[in-house]
Amino acid sequence: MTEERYRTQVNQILGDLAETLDVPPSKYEEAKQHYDAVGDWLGESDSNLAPYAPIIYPQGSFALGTAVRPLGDDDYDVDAVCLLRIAKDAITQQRLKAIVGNRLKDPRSRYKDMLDPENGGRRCWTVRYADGSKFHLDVLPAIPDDYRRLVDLGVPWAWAKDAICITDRETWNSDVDWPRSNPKGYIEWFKDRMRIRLEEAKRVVALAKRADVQQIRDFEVRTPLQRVIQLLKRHRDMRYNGDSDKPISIIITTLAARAYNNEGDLIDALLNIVPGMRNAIEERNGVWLVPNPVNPQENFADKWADEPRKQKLFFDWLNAVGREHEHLLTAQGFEKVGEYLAESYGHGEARTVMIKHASRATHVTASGAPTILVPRRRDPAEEAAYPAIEVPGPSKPWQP
Amino acid sequence: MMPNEEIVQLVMNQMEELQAKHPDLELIVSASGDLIVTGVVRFCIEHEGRTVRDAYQIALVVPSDYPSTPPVVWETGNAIPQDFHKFKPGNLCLGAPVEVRRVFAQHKSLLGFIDRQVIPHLFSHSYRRDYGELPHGELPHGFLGLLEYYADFFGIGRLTAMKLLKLLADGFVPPLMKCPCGRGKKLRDCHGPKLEELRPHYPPQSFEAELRGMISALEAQGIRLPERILPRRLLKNREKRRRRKAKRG
Repeated sequence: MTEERYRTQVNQILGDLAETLDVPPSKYEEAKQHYDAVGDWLGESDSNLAPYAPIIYPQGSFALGTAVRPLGDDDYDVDAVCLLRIAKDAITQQRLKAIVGNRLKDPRSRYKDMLDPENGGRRCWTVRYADGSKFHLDVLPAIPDDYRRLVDLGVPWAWAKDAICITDRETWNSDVDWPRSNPKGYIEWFKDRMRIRLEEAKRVVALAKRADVQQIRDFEVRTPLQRVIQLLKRHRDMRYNGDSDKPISIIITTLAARAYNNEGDLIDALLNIVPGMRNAIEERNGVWLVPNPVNPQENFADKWADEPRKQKLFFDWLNAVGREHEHLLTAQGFEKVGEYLAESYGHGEARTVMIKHASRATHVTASGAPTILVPRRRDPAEEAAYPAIEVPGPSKPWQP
Repeated sequence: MMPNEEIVQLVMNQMEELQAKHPDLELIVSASGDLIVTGVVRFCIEHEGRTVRDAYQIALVVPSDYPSTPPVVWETGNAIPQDFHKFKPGNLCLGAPVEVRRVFAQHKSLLGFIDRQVIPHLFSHSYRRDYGELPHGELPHGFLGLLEYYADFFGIGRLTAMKLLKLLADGFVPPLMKCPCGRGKKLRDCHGPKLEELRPHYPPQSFEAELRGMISALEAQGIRLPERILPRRLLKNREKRRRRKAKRG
């Protein structure tokens, strides 16, 4: 068995795994319906926001195609920007947050009892949907930013033009300047980092659907970069579930996208991206920098300086991911791939993936390496039991 | 055809129940793509005041049509010699083939197979090693052993058992026919239900092959058999040959 063969199989297994972790298309549809409905309500003609022509658009992992199914009972976390056409000097942060909130809390609003917490979060209003749907939608009130500032900092116009100003309850009384963000620009930058594979994947889907490639939307397909990010996020969730110092998604996504070289295979991409992520972190005068690629003044790792545990967990985790996946390409590692996936990515997912792997392996003769589907259950430290067996009327042994 | 996704899923489900009792067994996909349950089984069985506690290393290969047919089982620790009820390739011969399938069809599970079919077999090996005799006896080798199995199963003599086996070999079991056992009852009210217990587990050709094997083994011993126990196709061939001979003569 050559390493090349492990590679082929690990590649398929990780592909199946990422597909299992992915959010089903129906959830994407549901998310879109939810934020479109909020947009409609905010922009209705009798709304006090109507004059500001509110626009709602997705940001974050749902917009990037990197969302993963939540662990356990957690909700799907959908992020959307609510952009009002108001000039910065015509409104305050407090007022912007309040007018969006008031519209959501209007007595006729279906959202009036769905806000959680009732007085809003630090930056957004969170709408929590009925239990069954396992959704919550973060609505981020925003106004356009003066993007020339970004262009002057070297951000291309196409990525700079949709920059926004947002509100922050913790600083709005002390800081005169608005916090900034640029989710649309980030999405464009992200797509640009995987342009070659994105277009390739869209062409393949277009062929399969007998449709024109123009009709295929960007996030109907998944590139190896998106898949790797999904794997990394779930790996992180399994390792540090509930730990508030766990590596944050925006750092993972940014570093992975920077390290990606449009590899076509998942395992190639993963084994290149992980060390590349380490190299993409800059250290300047003892400060760790993960700059926002579409807003160089923003450092995604700004909290690492005051909370060194965050930085430590990040590097520990990144090293573990690299080591573990390299080990999968060896005979000892590959044999236990099922156990590894269960521990690092979740039991249900591992099971689904290993069933697929086993039925694939059993269809190709002599192409595989042995893998354990269900490991032994006895703790080696425990003494072996000899169960009592009843033998009522056994068949007599025979031989030809 | 190799095992598909549905079978893998079924086997993985059955592993849970199996491991609750036999935690040293695991499920693997081999390099050649076979689905294999492998590891150590342990048992403790009392028989006629004697207690046997033993452990064996085994491997079960799950067939592509599982659970229509039972797994093939190997003893992998070299504890059982080739001459103790093994097939040529070395897998264990748990009993008359149709009996192995008949019993397996009653539970269609890995745990049932191990506890009711594999362990009794391993136990009989341990028992003979320790006490010099088999706990439940054994069948003679070859086709005559099969004949004894059928005679035991139907609870009748060997010749009559062959008459019943002929019905299975010909794929012709009319319920209103007089039962060949000679008690004068209709098949339906006599050995018909026994035949029905075996019929689903084998195609007629397999019963026919066994019946032909028994016939040649008996004829080799110089025993003349009445023609009415020959399977239909064998009978036709013999008639043809006779007619040809008569023409030439």
